[in-house]
Amino acid sequence: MAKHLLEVKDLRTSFFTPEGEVKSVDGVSYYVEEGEAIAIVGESGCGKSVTQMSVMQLVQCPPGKILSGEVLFDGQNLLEYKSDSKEMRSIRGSGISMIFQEPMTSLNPVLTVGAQLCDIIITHNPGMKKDEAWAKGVQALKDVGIPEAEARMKNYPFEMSGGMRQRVMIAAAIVCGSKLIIADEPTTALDVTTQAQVMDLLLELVEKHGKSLVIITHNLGLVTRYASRVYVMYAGRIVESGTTEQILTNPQHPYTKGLLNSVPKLESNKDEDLVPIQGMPPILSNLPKYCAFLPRCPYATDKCRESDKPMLKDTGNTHFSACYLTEGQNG
Amino acid sequence: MADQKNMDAPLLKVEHLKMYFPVTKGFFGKKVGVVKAVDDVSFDIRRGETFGLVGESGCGKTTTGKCILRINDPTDGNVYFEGQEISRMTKHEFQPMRRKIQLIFQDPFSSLDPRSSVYSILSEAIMCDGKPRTKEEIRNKVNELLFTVELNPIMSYRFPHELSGGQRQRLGIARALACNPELIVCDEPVSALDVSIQAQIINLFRSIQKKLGITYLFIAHDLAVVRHISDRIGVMYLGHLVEVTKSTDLYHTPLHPYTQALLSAIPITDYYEEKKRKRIPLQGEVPSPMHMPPGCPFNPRCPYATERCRTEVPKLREVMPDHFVSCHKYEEEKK
Repeated sequence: MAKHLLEVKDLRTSFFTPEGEVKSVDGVSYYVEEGEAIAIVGESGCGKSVTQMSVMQLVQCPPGKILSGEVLFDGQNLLEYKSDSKEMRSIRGSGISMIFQEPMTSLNPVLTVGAQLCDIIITHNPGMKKDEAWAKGVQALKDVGIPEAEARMKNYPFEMSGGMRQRVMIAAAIVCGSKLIIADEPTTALDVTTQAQVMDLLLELVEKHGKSLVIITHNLGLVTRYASRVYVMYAGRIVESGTTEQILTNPQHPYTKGLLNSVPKLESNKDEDLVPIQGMPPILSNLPKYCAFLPRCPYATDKCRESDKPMLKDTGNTHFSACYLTEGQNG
Repeated sequence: MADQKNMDAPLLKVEHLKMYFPVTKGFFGKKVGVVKAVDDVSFDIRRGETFGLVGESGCGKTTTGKCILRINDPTDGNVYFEGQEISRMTKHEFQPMRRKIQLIFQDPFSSLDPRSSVYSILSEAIMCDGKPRTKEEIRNKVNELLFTVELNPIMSYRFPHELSGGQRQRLGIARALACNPELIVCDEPVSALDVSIQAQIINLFRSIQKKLGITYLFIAHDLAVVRHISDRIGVMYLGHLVEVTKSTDLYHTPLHPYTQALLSAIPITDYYEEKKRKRIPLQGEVPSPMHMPPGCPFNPRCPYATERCRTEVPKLREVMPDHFVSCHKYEEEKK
């Protein structure tokens, strides 16, 4: 079994708002092995991004606060470090890199791409000469498939297309040699053909350079093609986890089933009506004591209404589901 | 012309539509170039069907929709609605047509007046035909519209900011339906919504069409959504319509090299099928519409490009029944 590069245990992050405590991340545990690509799937507001922000300790405090849990990266517990400590700053970038949805907001609009890349390289390699850093930046742009890399180094972000900017972000992630890349909706703002190019590039980093990748997305198609394991999140909790094959071909949790049924499929017979999940996503500041999916669940029983939130239980072959209905099956 | 109104005639006919935007520079607005946003696009939409328009950003699908709605006045070409040419009408002549062609936007929040309640948003749209109505008639019509889009009548006292994204989009649909339109142009109506809500809205579009027989022009970039909702689909690339076909044929027999690449770029959720699929990687990026390549717009990225593709723009032609494609490859094969 490969080493767990990142292991998150029972992470809890809340936001304290005038409306009350919002439990954005409510006891989330997951791990990433070395050289593996995993996906975290969920709809907006399910806490998938806040989970990753907590790992990087980028949650704004106040109103947000990481309450408890463990984030083990390469043997160290990151939560022992303060958010602005030297250790944490060195892990961001050289340990874990993050790629965001909208690359324009992550790049500085008044500096050239080259200046920004050199800045990153010199910060992580103190004492490096400027022209050395420049050469390294050019190489990184070549690695991510940007043509005419030398000329592109002198471009400002606005002179590049969306796909190109996202490649620059990936280049920034690889120049510091980080082992784990967290990609938060990396291709949502991109067109489909560009999306395929950017995702192929990310997967190449995993397969050829042994990096690990966490893809945060709501697009189940991306998951099928690029991830080997999947975690499905709903209302701040992981409701199902397993290999991509298990989740997509044999979903256990009613939410995963609903999600799969509500996506229009390119390949299927179009006359079938979509089966949407009824109702609306829950409001996180006012979650019930019982299972958060219960109001929308077509299979809910009395047991679900009377019991506490279900825990993740193994349904066989490391396929976990947090639902009372699936618990009995392997009982 | 205007008299031939039988049911078989297309509701909307677009012929050789061209929309060029000048690119200006400097204080005096010197013209330095032209962006061919829509270049020679022709298609027709039959009564009661859904015609999908797909393509990547900047391909001109929204501009095509805007030309039909007369938000943009096309540079050249004709648009016939119920047999009447509408692209050359004066504003005054077009006024009664506007009620028959309605629009639904992508972002339901910016397209709703934040200071009007649901009731006043809908009643304003109902009254735009200028007919006298009593308060009760309007109230009944508002309730009827809310019922059609599956919103609770209590909602009519709410304001847009109190509604969720899905509810706002339902309100947008209700407003479009308020003046009994024949055609609704839907511009990316579900792309801002979450997956589970998106499915609800797609089903709503279909049930409204079954009930009221409305025709849709459905513009979106998500091929899976468009294929699900449309009867026929037009694929656009750089201002050109490259393929038009029945949506059932699109996945299994795409003909244009761009359509094939586009389809293969989209990952599907069927796990075993996905692992078997062949990928056609596309090199490079979409060229800027200001510097269009000569010949076929797709030729710099096309794996089958020949000398002819680099010089001559292919025409959209029917290669199979109800399947149009603009590619020199199929023309040669036919000979």
